[in-house]
Amino acid sequence: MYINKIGPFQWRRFTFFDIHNNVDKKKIAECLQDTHITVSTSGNGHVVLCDVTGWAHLITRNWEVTSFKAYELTVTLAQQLPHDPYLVTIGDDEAGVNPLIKVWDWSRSDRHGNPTCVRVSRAVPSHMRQTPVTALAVHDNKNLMAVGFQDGSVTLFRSDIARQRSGKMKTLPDSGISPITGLAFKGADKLFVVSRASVLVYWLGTERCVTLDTRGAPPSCCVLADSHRLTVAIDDAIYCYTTEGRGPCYALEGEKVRLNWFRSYLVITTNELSAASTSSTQSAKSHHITILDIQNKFIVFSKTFEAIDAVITEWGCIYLLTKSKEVIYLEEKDLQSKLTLLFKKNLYDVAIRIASSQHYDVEGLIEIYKQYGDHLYGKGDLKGAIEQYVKTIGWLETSYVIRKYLESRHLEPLVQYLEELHKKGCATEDHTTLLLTCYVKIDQHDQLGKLKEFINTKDKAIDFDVDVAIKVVRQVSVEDALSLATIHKRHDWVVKLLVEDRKDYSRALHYIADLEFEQAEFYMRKYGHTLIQHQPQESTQLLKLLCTDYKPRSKPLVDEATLTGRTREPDRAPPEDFIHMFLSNSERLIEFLEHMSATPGCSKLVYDALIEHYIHVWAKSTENEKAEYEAKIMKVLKDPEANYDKDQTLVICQMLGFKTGILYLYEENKLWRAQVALHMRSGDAEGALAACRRRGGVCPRLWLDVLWWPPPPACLPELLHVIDSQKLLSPILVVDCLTSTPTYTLGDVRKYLMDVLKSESDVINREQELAEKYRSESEKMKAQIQRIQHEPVTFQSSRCAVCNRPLELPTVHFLCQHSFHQHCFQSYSESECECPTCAPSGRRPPQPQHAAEAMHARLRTDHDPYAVVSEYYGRGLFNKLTVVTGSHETPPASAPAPAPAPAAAPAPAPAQTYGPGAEAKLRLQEGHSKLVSTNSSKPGSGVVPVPEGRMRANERVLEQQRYSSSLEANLNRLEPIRQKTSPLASPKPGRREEQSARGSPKISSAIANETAKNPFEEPVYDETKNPFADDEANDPTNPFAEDEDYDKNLNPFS
Amino acid sequence: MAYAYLFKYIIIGDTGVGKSCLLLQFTDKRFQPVHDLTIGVEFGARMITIDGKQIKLQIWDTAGQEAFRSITRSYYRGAAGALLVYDITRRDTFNHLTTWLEDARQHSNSNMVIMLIGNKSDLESRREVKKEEGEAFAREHGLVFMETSAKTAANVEEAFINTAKEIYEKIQEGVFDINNEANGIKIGPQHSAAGGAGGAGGAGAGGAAGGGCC
Repeated sequence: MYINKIGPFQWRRFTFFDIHNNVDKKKIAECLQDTHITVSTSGNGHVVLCDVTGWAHLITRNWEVTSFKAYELTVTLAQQLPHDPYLVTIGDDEAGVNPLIKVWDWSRSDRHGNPTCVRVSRAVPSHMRQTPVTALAVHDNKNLMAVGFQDGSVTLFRSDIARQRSGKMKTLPDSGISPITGLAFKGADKLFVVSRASVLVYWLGTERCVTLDTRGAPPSCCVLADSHRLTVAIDDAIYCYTTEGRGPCYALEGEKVRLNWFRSYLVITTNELSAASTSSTQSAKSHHITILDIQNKFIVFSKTFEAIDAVITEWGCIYLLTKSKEVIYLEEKDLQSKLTLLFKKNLYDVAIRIASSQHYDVEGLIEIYKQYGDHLYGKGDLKGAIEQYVKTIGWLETSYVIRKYLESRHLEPLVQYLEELHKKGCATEDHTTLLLTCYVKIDQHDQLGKLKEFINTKDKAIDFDVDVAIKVVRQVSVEDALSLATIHKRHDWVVKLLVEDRKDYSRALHYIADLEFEQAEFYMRKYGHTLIQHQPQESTQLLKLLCTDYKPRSKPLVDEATLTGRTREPDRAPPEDFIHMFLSNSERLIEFLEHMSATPGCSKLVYDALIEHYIHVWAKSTENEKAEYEAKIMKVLKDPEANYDKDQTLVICQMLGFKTGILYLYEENKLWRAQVALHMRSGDAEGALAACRRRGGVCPRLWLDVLWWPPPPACLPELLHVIDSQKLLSPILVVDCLTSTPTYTLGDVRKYLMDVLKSESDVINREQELAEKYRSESEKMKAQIQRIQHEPVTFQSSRCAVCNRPLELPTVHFLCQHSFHQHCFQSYSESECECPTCAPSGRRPPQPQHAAEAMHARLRTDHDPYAVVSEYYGRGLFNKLTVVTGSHETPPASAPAPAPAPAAAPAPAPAQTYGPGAEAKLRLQEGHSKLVSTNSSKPGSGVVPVPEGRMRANERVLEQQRYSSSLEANLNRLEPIRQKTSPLASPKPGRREEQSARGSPKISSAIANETAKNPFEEPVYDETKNPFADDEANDPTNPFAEDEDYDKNLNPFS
Repeated sequence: MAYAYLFKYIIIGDTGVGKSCLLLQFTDKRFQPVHDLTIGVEFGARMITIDGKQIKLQIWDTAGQEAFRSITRSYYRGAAGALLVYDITRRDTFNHLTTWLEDARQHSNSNMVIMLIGNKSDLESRREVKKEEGEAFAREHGLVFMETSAKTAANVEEAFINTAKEIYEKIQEGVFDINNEANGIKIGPQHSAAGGAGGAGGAGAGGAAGGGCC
């Protein structure tokens, strides 16, 4: 009744064992047909059964039985050592109580073929009271043996069990008086002793005895489970004991007969008391076998058999030996079959427990979890199912699970699964997306705030891809995405969200300002444009900071680095990169650029942009502001530090008509003509004139530019005056130019024309006078020549021109009316043909070599004449033709006696061949001329005319030189010493022929001009034949001359 | 692991009130929603620290079913503390407290510290026993009271640790005879030498000290 009440309902029951009958092919039955088994033991691959008649039967795995007579009477106890071929038995050889311990070594046979008995000893010393043996325990180490007796005493044998001589034998104290029912060694130093009345543990080393329980157990109902826990079966339950004390207990009702340990199972044999048996006879006695899985706490086998004599656990199997000597084999099912069994019953949890306790492989376990999950899902327990699916993470394809839950509307289990997925780090981007989407949906539905919760998990309990998360959350709630990004320091996202979604530009700026330099710079580059558009003020401030000396705003002003003395290189972004962001916001840009230009060392681009935008703003601003901006622009333009591109600036100024700037830049670039043109274009003739006045000295062409641009009549007088006075343009051309403009009246140019005409007529008059004078002089000279040739000369001087003493013979007389003592003459004269008085002043210093001559010399000697020509051309030899320097003006003036000069002149080649003779002849001529002059009674005037003519000529030359030099600016730097007449005037047919052999006409003309200064040949001719004004007047038709001048004025290199 | 004291606890109460779950939560920090019935007595242990001393709690988790009462009773002896558990969602478990308490008082030593635990506090919606009632019962019988949830782990640690504290205090006050193991208190290995030197003479305790040394 009691049993029925609780037994069946408590434990889960399964049948994990199959029953096989007749495994021994009745061999056992044959051997043990008539006897009664008293004890069974097994070990070392053999089973030993002992019967009441003293026989021991050694059974191999093949059920071959070796029987031998162990005792004469009976065997009461036996224990086979598990690892050695030793069998320890206790039995009686003679009647009465005198138990003998025998140890058999069945590996060795005696002469009868039976196992050798290696030891026989008395269990109880002869002096002690004999009492039956009830329990035996042999330690595996073969050195310890304990024997328990009916009277409650326990004897310990401490010696090699295989030796005949027993060593120490000791009776343990305090073991009580109730019969010992079980003994078990725990290690080598502890012995569990179970009696009918108590459970004890002996600490053999200290001989200490601890009572574990005050309840005992029937015989063969205690076993050492797991080799450390003593398990004792009592009627109501199975109790476990450790050496420390009581352990757990398992309630299992029934009168226990036998307890065996097999792997992790307890094999419990109980008396089955059927209703019939209790009431009537005891003939139909039967036993119930229960196998209990201690670990998992369920019954794995339970069946009633007929009376069982022995439970044998050997060869990894359980065998039951029934009273009728039938061997029943209980075969444990393999794991797969067990699981299948459990699956059939949908006991997945049990299956999992069993599988994991038997170290089932992971994939198999996962499969179980999956099946369990499927099962629960099928039953509609979605939450339970997901818990199982969670365990499959990492093995099972996630889509399998997700698809199941996507179909249904139960998101929470899915969320749970996904969260687990993230926690285990198996989540992909899609999973994150899905999870967040789920959060969002749940939030929409239940307002649980799961998303917020998720976002605010700062320690990132769930491992997810932040970027993906932000992306998803952004679609739902920008604010949440923002906080997510902020928490995870995804600056990129923060800024992006603030700018693009929230349009909270000010906050974005604040955020950027807190970042490190590199990042701040990066984000300003990226979003600067938008930010400036919407928050120009703050953005500009930030940019200013960024481009000068940036420091994250969150940082302290003075950080450690500066405190420790290390100077920090200021982080500074190149302002050029930000300029474009200020598109269409010139004011801010200006503010920014002004700030930038205030810091040293900023680039050209900054100035360019600054100026450009200044001008733009200027162009847009009202009149009042214009002045202000103009001042600003000019300040920058004039700033020597400002490193701007003048050309570009000029273009901008021109585009937007910023005249002040243009003018300044023209001035800077020396583009005076353009400046003048601009003035004229804008009708500011006064300005143009001012420019002319300023720069006309350097660039006379400016005046002409003004003229060609028909200036207002008011300006004409000054203009014309300058042109006239500087001879910039021939009057004919001036008139021509003026007539092309219909607005001028004659009155405007009258004065000019009058002046021109007046001066022309003056010149003519003067020329005529001169011509007249020369004519008369030449007449006089002719007369004098005549005189010298045909009339005698009287040397009348009475004093020596040297010593000023009265002349004494011998004397030397010269036609110049100087007379000398001969010795005076000899001591003073350098050559005998020269008058010492006249000679020093008459002799000229050697002519400096002219460039033209040097060039000719090189042309003759050099192997590459063309290179020489080009070199000279490059040096500007042929550019300019008329320069007269002072050194040439003076000699003729101070040399009234030019006589010896012709001889020194290199040009006339034929004269040289005559040598000294020619000299003498000339001297003679000079002498005549001197005579003539002396005779004319005006000693000074006789000599004057010739030099005077030359002076005149030189004056003209000077005049002309001024004219042309002013025209042609400073073209002649290279060859300042050249003395030329106008190129237009000089070439004469004869000369050209003479020198044509030497090269280009230009060169020959230079030579010609060179010779032209010869006072003997040229002065008169030049003077009369070369009226400059006329030349100029004629020349404009000459395209060559005009072109050349024009080109030079425009030449930027000049 | 070395400990200063070992306290033996016992958890009692009707079946299904969550005794095993409390133990599992305390020892393993996990919750098992589907838990098999406890058949007989089970066992758990955990180290805690009180007053800087390592204390090992050895906890007996008993079957709550009436049928096992006889088995579990034998475990009352040798327990220094007991957690008497009822389920706040089941009035009858609360009603049975008196029986349990009588049982415990009868079979245990008189100094045993009993803590009354109202479990499943997470199921507020299904509550049948008010907290006040539990408090009143505890006051009446001189128990310490606490509501816990083995599922959410709320107050679980506290329940066990507070009980341990109380026992510890009693030891300090000298109420417990720490040398008598039947009281459910054992001195740890490092204390045993001192205990031996003090000459506190229980044969069992002295023997235990010797055993520990070996």
